[in-house]
Amino acid sequence: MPVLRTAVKPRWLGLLACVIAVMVTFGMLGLWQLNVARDKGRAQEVRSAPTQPVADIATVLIPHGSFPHDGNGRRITATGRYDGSGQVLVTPRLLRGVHGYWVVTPLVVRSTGARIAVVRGFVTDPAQAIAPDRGTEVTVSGTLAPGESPASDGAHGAPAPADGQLGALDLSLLVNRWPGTLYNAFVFATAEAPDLTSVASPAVERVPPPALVGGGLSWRNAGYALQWWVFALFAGYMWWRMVRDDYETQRRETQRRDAERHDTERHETGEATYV
Amino acid sequence: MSEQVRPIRDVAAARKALGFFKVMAITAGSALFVLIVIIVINGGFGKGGPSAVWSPIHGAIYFVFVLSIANLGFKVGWSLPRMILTMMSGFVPVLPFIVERKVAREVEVQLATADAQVALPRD
Repeated sequence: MPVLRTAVKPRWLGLLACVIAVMVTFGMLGLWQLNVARDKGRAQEVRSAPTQPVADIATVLIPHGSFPHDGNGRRITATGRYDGSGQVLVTPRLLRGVHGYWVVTPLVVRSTGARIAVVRGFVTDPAQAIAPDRGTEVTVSGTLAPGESPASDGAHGAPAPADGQLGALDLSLLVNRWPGTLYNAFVFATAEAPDLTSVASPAVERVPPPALVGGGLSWRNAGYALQWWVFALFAGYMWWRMVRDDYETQRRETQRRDAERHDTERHETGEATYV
Repeated sequence: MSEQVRPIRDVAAARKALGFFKVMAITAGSALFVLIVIIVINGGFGKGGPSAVWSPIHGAIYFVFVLSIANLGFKVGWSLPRMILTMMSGFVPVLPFIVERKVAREVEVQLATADAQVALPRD
């Protein structure tokens, strides 16, 4: 194909290198968006966790086992007895803009004997956090969450938490504080049967499980990925179009010159010698 | 007109390409305007909401705008930098409208010249 001879001109080869670089970049940007789309799809899965049916803790978690990937926000029930002696307060915490403490009490789950951290509620004064009676068996309904990252104690000039208080719901601290095995999760209690907390410490307010963050739709990022690739292909098309344009210009130029020469020859020899 | 590398080959096609470009410049300019209004109302980038719906639509419109520039550029003999610059104008608010006016004026002159040449008897 003669147009290919135009394409291998240094000028067009140089431009081809640039175009390929652009195409590779756009292709990778497209892959990046595709990955974002996949991640968001996974996040969507996570967000659907709260809509799954309420399950007994034994079907979702095993003591000391790793936190399940779809466990965040799962609604569970757990039956057992509170171990009031292990109760800790997590601070600083906010509830509707008010500073205070989370009341975290271990629940000894009857079926396994392992402890799970239960956020029974929120208080503004540590004295309000009266531990419930150990003798009564209780069924806690709530929302599952993974343990929090360690608090940076003393960082930014924050005072170290007082005794019996923690800077974060850090399960690695609780496992040392509490006897027996521990579940790798905690529960935002939404209800208890019987309602021990309201009876023992009416000032304790339930902490609503946090809304799981995340937004956007995966199809949007998949669309961006597609757009990057369309632009990459377009860059390639532009190059080809320019080569063809150059080839066309040259071809016309040659034709014109040939025709001129042809005319001149005919004038000189008086007959057509060129085809 | 300093940019012009070669005369317009197909005046009718170039005229059609100019019409397509004008429509797309106005459309892309308006789409960008809408996107910016949505982002401002949302209170910044990456907040999701209505801009999540509009951004991909704006992207598709912008692509057609780019197509219309290439289509016109090749037909009236623009250089590659000129085409790329015109494409980039689509990122700047209000600029597509200005570019549309400028390009339309220039290409109209080019077309008129080409028409005049066609009207002349060929030797």
